[in-house]
Amino acid sequence: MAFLTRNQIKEIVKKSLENVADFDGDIEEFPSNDFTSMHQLSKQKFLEALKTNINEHQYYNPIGQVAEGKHYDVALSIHEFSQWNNITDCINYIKEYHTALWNE
Amino acid sequence: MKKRILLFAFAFINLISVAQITTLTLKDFDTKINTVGSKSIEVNLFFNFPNKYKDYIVDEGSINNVNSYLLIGNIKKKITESPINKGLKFSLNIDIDKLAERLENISLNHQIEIEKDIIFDIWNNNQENTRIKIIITNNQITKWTKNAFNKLSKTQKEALIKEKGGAAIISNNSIDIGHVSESESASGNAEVNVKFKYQDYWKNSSKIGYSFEGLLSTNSKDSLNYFSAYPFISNFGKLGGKNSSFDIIGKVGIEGNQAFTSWRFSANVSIQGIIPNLINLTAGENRLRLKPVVNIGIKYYTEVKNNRKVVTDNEISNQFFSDFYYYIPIHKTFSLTLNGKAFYDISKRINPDKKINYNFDAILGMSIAKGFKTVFKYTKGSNSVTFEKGDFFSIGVLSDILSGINQ
Repeated sequence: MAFLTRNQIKEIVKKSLENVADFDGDIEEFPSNDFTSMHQLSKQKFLEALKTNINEHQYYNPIGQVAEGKHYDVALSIHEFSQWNNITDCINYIKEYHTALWNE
Repeated sequence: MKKRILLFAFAFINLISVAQITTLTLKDFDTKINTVGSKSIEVNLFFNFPNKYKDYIVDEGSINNVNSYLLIGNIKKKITESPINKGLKFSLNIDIDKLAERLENISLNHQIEIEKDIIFDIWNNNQENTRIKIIITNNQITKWTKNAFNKLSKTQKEALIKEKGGAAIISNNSIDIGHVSESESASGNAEVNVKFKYQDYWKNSSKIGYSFEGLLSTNSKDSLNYFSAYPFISNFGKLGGKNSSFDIIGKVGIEGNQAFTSWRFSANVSIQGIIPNLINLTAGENRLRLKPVVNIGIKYYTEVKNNRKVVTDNEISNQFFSDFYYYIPIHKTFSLTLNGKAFYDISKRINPDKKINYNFDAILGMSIAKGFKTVFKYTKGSNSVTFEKGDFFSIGVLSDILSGINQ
């Protein structure tokens, strides 16, 4: 393991979306307009929740065991949000760019 | 004996496979910024994985600790290296107070250097017997990262500065052009109107912004037309501590009707945040139901000119106000966007009936292309400066321009 799986990332995004929206179904199935129509304040709150949830997610070592000493992180900004057309783009971005850092 | 030779040969071949060391070439690199929490910039190096290893990823736990530095001229800054799925990342924290200076510095010749070779494994789906050891040397890192941060775009650099103050100042910048038919217009002529809102930081400031907004039309006397300009907007912090969902916003400026036959100076303090959903019109369809954004506050104003027929003296007064943004998905493809404002003036001369006045846009649309909707719009209510009432129905195209950061 070590890096987050796509499913784990999708759960983090889903949890973060709950701060700014309600929904029931698959978060990757929403019309893209619903996602891109977020007020700037909602985008900021969503990104802050995303950052916190990624940083606080349990770290797994390469053989899939829960481990201490590291945390996950990814660069986020409203500028980057504006490049995403939908939630799938958000998940794919985190998958490609997230990393594991040593705790300070 | 034969068996022993075979076993020995098998073990030897395995040993070589596990121990094979190679390097990778650079496929691409890019730069990203982080403005949520601490501010940083990063360069991401993506490696060419040979075809037979195309499904491999970096084993995150296998990378050795090296000391990495960003060299700008003869200045050395500590930079953090870490793995990503298909490569390496180098992140530089940016001190907020010296942000502009730091961005200026990295426009000079720079490169990243490492004190020893970076060694890590790549593997396929966490399978131990697929490990390949990779070495990346200082020469490679130096070559690949030479002036890498020059790739930061103008909009990324602006975002680093502008996103410091939070979302209060980065608003939904928008422009909406509408057409009102002869039968619907107050003048009896076909009219074109434009509703707009724009907010941004002052140059070199991360705390003070400005905005202007309005509804203007070819009929300058339309009762709902207005124009506001606020040269000072600031986010004073969160209500109730750093984990609060609500921000305290201050604004100072002028507000008037289109012809400025009525206008005033005003100073507002308000609380802006997200509240629970009020309604569900999806009928079970899978839609993202965004929660409403509200802004509630108090305004102090002093009139300079008014166009009232009675109570003609210029007033000094206060108003309680609330504005809201609510995007409501309807069934499978439609959406209703409500932008509105309610206000209560405490002046007994201006508001003798003690009424709560309001104005709102209700925009029904559907997606046809990214950022554009074909809309039917209904606008109704009272002008918040002159209190004149009006309404109109228009057909136009809604586009969000410069939403958030200049593109």
